[in-house]
Amino acid sequence: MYGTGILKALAVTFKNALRPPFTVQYPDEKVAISLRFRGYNFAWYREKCTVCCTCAKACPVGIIYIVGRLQPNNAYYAERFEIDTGRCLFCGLCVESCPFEAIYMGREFEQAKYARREEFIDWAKKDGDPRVPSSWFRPCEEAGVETHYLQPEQRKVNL
Amino acid sequence: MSQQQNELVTEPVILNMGPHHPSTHGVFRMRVALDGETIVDMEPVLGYLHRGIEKLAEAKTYVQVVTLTDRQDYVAAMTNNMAYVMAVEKLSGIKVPERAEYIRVIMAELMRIASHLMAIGFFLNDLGVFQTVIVYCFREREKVLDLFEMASGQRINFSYMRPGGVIQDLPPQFIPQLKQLLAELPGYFDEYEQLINENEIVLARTKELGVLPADKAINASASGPVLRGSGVAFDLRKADPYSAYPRFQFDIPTGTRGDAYDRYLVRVAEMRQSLRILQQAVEQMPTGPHRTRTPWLIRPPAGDAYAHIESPKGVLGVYLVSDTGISPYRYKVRPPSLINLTTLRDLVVGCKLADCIVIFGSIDVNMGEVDR
Repeated sequence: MYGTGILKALAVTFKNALRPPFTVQYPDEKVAISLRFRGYNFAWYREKCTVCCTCAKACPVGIIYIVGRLQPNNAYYAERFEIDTGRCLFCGLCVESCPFEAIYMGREFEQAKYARREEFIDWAKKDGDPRVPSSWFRPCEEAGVETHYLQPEQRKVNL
Repeated sequence: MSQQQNELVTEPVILNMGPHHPSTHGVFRMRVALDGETIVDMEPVLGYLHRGIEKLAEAKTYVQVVTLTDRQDYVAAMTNNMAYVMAVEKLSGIKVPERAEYIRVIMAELMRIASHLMAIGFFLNDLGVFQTVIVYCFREREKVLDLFEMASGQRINFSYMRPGGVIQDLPPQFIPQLKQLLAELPGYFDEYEQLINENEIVLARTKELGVLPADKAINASASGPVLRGSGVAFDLRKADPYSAYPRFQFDIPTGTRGDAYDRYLVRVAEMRQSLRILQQAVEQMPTGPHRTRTPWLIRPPAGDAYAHIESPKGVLGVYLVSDTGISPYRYKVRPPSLINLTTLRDLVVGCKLADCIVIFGSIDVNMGEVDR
């Protein structure tokens, strides 16, 4: 009979009308993001970084700017560690390439700024600021182990 | 007087559909010549989304190119990654561990489900079922994207695969959530079929519309659901098995008439077959390493390699030429969307203008892949 298909279809839409909504009212409530979320606002740790610039070379778009100064104890001190997050792909190649686990992806996603200059984040000037590191490519962090103050040989895990 | 009217000569009207028409999938322009409401000629105008990915790849290292492949077909980025890394592995002779092959198959099949859900949603959107089906489809696609986010950290631009395996092993909560999704999805697919399959309006709009005969589809070297909707049982997962596919049991769904409705039916049936493959892959999942150690700067020996896979939209091929440098000498993509799009003119000529959008939606192209 003509019209039964439409009635069947209406049954589906009626069934869905009775289901609870699956959308969230974004600014008021936020969805949970996974531990591995590759997001905004990287985390960089001065005490682990040796200013080897591997991350800057690995970056496909070349947005990491590093200036180092040689100290009397023959170690480099990062005077500038700047990431232009406005042009960042969030591919995570800098995190993957870092041999000392000094840089982590962040877990934030609200990136809107009033000026383009504000998208540059100079981590060398943010020593005391809180960090929200993501556990992407950092299996120890994912397992809940704080690797921050471990020695380099203890930090090594089978990736 | 009436004789004069009969001799009145009319000229076809040229109408530009797009590049920002709400029904075009991405920035695509159709220069349509109309006689009344009937289409007498159609010329696709491409290149609005051209970013020169093939040229950009020549200035990036082999690992960095993975980030570019995400941007080709941005609704099915996992399969793009997979085709590219398979070409690099072929070129440089990198072995892939067993577990990595299974993870890749799981990701590729989940990607096929997500891509087909989007194709069905937009196909019905083009028919005029504004937002109803597409929101249902996006609800299920969200669950698939949640799985991707859990494993790779991103929802669209995954960059998950690397030459020699995948970047990171699956998190421990991935397999339980995947099993839960596998139990849920068949019910939702039943709902779509109840909603669409027998709907008189959908049948009247899509049956016997945009018929692509099998010989024409083969001559145009169409692939994917467009070719299988015409009744040709060609699937690279069976015809040239790669990765872990030889170990899985699945069928190739085909259509009979080759019209827009058949292409829709093939997509739904393919999603059910993907569920079958996923079930088997979860059961057989081996343990072991997920990645072979590869150097950061891969320098393959001089030569070339071609790898092709069955992406959601058809046969996706990647051709790589190496001159022993750290970046590809040439990176060429065989995009399924572009080649399926070449059949569009034959399908729409003679149809009404409103049907042109439906046919275009049934081919399911992605402009990011067409223009690259």
